[in-house]
Amino acid sequence: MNPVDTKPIERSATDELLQLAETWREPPGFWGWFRCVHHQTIGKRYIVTAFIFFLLGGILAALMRMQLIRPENRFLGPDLYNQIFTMHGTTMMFLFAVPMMFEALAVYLVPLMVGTRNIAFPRLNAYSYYLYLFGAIMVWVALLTNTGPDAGWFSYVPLSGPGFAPGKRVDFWAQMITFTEVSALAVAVEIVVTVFKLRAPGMSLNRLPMMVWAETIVSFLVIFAMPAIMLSSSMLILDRLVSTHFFNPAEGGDALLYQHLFWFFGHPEVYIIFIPGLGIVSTIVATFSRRHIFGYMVLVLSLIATGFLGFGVWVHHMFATGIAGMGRSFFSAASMMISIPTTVQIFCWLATLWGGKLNIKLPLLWIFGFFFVLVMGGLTGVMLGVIPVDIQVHDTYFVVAHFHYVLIGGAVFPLFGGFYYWFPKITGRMLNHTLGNWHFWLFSIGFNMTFFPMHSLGLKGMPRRIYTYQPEMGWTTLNRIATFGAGLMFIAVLLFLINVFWSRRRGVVAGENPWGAGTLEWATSSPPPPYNFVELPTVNGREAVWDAAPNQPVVRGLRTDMREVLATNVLDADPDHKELMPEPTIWPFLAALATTFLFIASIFTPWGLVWGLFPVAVTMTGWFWPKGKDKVNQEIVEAEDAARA
Amino acid sequence: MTDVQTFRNGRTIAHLWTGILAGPLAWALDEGMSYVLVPHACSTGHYYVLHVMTALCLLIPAAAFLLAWRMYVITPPSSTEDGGDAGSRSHFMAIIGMASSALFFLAIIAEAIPRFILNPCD
Repeated sequence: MNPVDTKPIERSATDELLQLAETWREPPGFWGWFRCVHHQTIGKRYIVTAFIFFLLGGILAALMRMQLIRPENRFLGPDLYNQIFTMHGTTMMFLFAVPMMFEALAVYLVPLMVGTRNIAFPRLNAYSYYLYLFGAIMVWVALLTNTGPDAGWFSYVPLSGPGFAPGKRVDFWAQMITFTEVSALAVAVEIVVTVFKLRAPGMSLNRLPMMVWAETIVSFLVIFAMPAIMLSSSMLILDRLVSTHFFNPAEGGDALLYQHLFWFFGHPEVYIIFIPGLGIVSTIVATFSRRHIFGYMVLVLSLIATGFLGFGVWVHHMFATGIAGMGRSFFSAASMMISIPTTVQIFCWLATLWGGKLNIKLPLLWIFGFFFVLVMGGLTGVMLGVIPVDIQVHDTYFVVAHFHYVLIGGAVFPLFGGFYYWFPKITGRMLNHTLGNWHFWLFSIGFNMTFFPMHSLGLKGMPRRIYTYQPEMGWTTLNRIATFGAGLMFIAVLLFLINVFWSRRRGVVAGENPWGAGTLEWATSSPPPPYNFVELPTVNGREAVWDAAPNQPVVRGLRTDMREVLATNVLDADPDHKELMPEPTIWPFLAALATTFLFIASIFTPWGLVWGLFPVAVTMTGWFWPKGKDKVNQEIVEAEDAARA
Repeated sequence: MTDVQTFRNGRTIAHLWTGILAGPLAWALDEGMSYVLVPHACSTGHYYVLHVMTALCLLIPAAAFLLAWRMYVITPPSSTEDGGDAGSRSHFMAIIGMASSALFFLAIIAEAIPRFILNPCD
């Protein structure tokens, strides 16, 4: 079936454009804020919220560094320090890295990159954002009321069990997991459907932009990895609240089971954070080399291989737990193998840069930083894959140095590159170049000053998570250097914030495609209109803008008076049918409030689960009940289809 | 050479996806099952079960490679790496399938090596 005519046309008439803008306009006013369901709005909210949590997590890191600047410091006590390092890890992993690298970027960029008008299941998208926001606020309110989680970001049992962690601190952590994982799972489903069903005609599987490949693979990682952590955190909270004994060896439970479940999620999570970074790198490298990416197929294969291998390395986090030697060796081999696809990708990017006409701008500068930092982190990763080395440096600052090189190198460096790259698209203005340069160099120098000495501290035996140390240990100088480095990073991020606020109003106007990029988000104005594209585009190559024919056809026949999009088939993106998108509504917000009540109430009483179900059922029914403009639109479309038949 | 319509039918598409996914799934099966079988091999002394597991799992990516290769040879000569037609897309999927099968065949071998060196009871 091909209901869509794909002929070149002149731009639509003004009244049609006005109608299109009115149809896709987000509702105005105070209550309108809670009714928004468009991917651009929700995506921007995700970006801002996740960045706020990056700043909060950074403030906690700064507090830890201030505490460790000298031996026997009394700036923070041990109890507060426990809460701070737990909340630093929790915030950075669950409230910043995953929501930013996956949810925020995917929700904002993927629909634009595949050439459609909105994400699939837009109401679910709004619901996912509110759940994430409420979960994050809950756990931060807990911290501010001295009930912050204090058993580490992975909350190992028995430390986090009822015997060693009385009170509600760990319960807030476990329930925060439920909030954020439901949110991530919802977005994963939306992205899979958007990518497989809403692509522009011509964007067959072998023409997907690398960033879209990355976010799609991450969606599958989320779908398969997140249930493990939801299971483990639910079992933990059951052990704590209703005295089950899943993790209590004294009653036939198994403490190690918790670690297996946690890391079966935890290691893929590293790739959930890292793979979007790889997508950003591929995108920026191609744009600023002004050529198609070298080795597209190899890059896609590497992403797929990384996604699979990421599920087979979790036991390397447990080498020190007494697992049998041969069993460990399988995971040691997998841990070393996983460096191969990343290395292959680095060679592809270098080959692209080598054969391109380089345009060295701020986004590319951050990618150069990424190469340096990630290779450093990757090398120590291979070292940690070797079992004797891992056991020797287990739980020391060597590991802290390694994973900060990997996570900041693999995610934050590309992310800042991505900010400079897509800021003009989101706001219509360029970020200031001079401030951007200061940001890059201060951050890079500060980062290496902070984390490079930690390798040495780890080899000298400094354990993780200690709130102070004695002067005779010989760790003072390196800790001092690390703290000064953290200060530089702090200033760098402050400069970035100043740049964002200044450029938002006074930056140079960007225009449609300031970098001369090739992917579809640059085929519309900056910032994009609420309907994304005046006419949905068709695609003639991997870089849709670069490869467009002189009279590249556009999609015609979509209604302008309803939120209609084109559904295409999974593999070849051939036009399949027209699909109505739902209108703005407050029900996802109300459903998220009801879900929040259920989750928080169940921390205090198991009956919370029962009573909480009623408001959830009511709000979900309200959400799905056919009514209002959605019902009218559906009836009109059905009547027209019947008349046509 | 085959008609482009062939690459849109369910059977061909299933073959192409099998080529891409069977290798990694076989590797996951080998790793998971071998990890579970180590204590069994130690307690019973039946070390050979670990090798049998590897051998069986190696057959899967080998078969997937052949399937992907068969798909590759029947794609039309006009197929290009970035063409927008079903033939080019199948050509892409077939190559990814062959590469994925080969990669995970090697991954299974890499994880088989410790079985010749270490004792399951260590």
